Amino acid sequence: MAGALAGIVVVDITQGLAGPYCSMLLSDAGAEVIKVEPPSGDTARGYGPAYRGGDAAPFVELNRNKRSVALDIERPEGMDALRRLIATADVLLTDLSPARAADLHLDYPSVEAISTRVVQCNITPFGEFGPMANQPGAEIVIQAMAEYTESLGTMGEPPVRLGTDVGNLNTGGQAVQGIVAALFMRERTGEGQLVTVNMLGTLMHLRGMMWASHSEGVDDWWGFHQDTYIKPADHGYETKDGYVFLTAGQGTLSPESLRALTDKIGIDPKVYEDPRWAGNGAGVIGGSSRYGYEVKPTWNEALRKFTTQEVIALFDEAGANAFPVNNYETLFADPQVQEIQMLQELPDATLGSYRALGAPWLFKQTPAGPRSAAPGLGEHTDEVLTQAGFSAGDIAKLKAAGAAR
Amino acid sequence: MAKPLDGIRVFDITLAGVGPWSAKLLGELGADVIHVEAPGRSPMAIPPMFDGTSILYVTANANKRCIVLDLKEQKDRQAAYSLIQSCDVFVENMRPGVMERLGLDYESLSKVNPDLVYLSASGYGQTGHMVPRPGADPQLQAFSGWDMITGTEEGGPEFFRHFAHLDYNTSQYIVQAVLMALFHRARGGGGQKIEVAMLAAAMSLQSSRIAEYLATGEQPKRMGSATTSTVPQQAFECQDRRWLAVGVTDDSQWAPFCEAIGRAELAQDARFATNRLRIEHREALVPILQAHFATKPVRWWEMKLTEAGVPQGRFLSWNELRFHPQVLENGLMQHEDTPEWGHLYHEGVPWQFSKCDPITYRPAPAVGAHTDEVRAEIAKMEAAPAAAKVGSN
Repeated sequence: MAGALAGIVVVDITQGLAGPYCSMLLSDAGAEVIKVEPPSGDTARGYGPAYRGGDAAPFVELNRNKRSVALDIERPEGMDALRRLIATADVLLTDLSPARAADLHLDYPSVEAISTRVVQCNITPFGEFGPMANQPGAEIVIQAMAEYTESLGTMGEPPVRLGTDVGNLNTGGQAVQGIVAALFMRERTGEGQLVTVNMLGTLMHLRGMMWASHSEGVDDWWGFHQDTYIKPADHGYETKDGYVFLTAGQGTLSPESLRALTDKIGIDPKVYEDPRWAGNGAGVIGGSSRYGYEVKPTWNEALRKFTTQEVIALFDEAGANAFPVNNYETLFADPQVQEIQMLQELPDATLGSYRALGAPWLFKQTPAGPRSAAPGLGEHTDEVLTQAGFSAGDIAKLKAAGAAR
Repeated sequence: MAKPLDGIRVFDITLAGVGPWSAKLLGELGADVIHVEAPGRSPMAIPPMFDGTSILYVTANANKRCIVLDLKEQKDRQAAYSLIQSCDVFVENMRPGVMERLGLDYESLSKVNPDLVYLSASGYGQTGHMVPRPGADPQLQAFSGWDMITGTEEGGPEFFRHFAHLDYNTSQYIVQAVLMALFHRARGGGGQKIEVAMLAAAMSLQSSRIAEYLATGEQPKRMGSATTSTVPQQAFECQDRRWLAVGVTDDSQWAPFCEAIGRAELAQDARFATNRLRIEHREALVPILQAHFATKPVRWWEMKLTEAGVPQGRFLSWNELRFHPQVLENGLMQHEDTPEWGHLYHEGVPWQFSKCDPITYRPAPAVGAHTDEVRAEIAKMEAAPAAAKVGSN
């Protein structure tokens, strides 16, 4: 059985993280991805840390399943080869500023002139319009502008970003939606179109609830998603050997169960003279609860005497929940990761095999996930160009001119 | 044709963030989304609230119709079956086992409608030891490893205090999967069941950091505003005590960056010639740059780096963001008068399609606002099953 996107050919000229993550997801679902790189290679090959064949680990992860063609599209012969590839493609994935797209004649009207069936998706940092439309972006810049850093760190101290590359990877995911929606539409209309997504827009979109809570009708300025920027950094709760996150079961814990729990872990019963502790546990358990921040020192003092696993058992017994703050070692040691097939092994000529993440969706009919290792630079130049109708002589000429590698 | 999902109907029996937000996106793409609520239950009391309704409900149920059905009653369950026969997509995010009890599991519904694309979302998957545990954003932040790579090295792991990102992140993957399955179906593939776990989605979102761990066996460090993969990419404090986010993400930006900040000699320094070398010599380079940024105000560096084509930006907050020309010109934040919720601020549309009508925002309906309307449509379908799809738009 083939993947849901079997038969779809994607020509991808993007570099870095956002575009390559998009085409990785498309390839996981069965699309064939032709990665067109400059002769110097995708810039992400040079990120850290070095891994297989000197390529950076994130590059190797995000470029699985793909074939690499090295073309210098600054040269007319290289651009001509790219245009011939576009003519055979269902999807063209680009990450060009409007000015650069016009310079290269890879703006949509030019692409549509090559093929009316191709769906072009263009990814930008800040959108296709406006004063920053032609400026380059970076993960930290996107997180800073979209005010993600307001929900991290502590006011007055240096900014803190999300450790993962949400601006890039969420935008790659948003691009997948736009592309597949346009492919679905093409089944009905027979025509491709241009879809655009941008990183600032993606992060602002995912923060939509925050904007809504600035509307006039909001009842109170408290809760869960809103007042967090005035709070200090939230490290969870400290245990003897790590950190945990706590919740009060299904949102509540009876006063008796709360009392039994706090007695057991050695919290002084005098805390119940404080009205914040008097109700059910929902007000005092967890950093996002009403008084969670205020009473946290009391919990921390008690929980530091127990290991993370002991805290989880104690909270289970009480009818509440404690969750480990996993590092990657403890995460991958948890059998739940295997249960959802998120760790896979990929055969590889250089390493024998290497570990990669699984696909984020489990389709019951159409298989999805990693199939083959990331390509070396230009590893498939001859193969792909031959398939596109180039003769051995044509390919030799391209290489001699420095337009292919 | 106006929208990519014109003519597609979605049965949306979802709660909280993950499920509702995904169906909201399908609605933006043009699907007729029918959100099902149970009778007598106020949808979530998660603050903050609009006149007693959670903002989570208000934001995650835009672009839908809402019907109240009592699925414990045979009559309403029959109505649901009739409605589902006219649907293309079914989305649920109840605890594993709930759909079976209601008779709305895939086995039962695929008999009624074999072309149905049936999506089950969960915290940790449909099987395994984590299934009985609650799975919402903060639990997943802790469990998925996301907190451990955020924060400062000395300060400890840190939660993202906007406790919704891993919910809406999961919705992103749900929408991808539904669209892929609809595409497959349009090419003759038939319906199928799909599962998306918040844990899988949260791990996939960390692909770049997890790749570093899988390659080296070492936990990626927490670096405050900096990152493991490229240098320099972090916040620098300027003379006026304001911070500027700067990221040299491509080696071709390094020399222009050095030139722009008036330190051209750094571009000649062999220790800093490539990103890989700058990572190696991070501890030598960053203090030089930080000391240098402290000699001029943020506006100066902003101007210089813009001229040089080096990625830079300010740390913005609500009031700066909502009036920012880049936000306004790209429609990234919207606000309008709504009958249900007053003057409502909301996110813009995440994609622009060149051959579609502009996507408009339909505010979330009050609970049950479309019960009569949809019940009338169901009655029509039951009277003439062959015309089940008539009236969908």
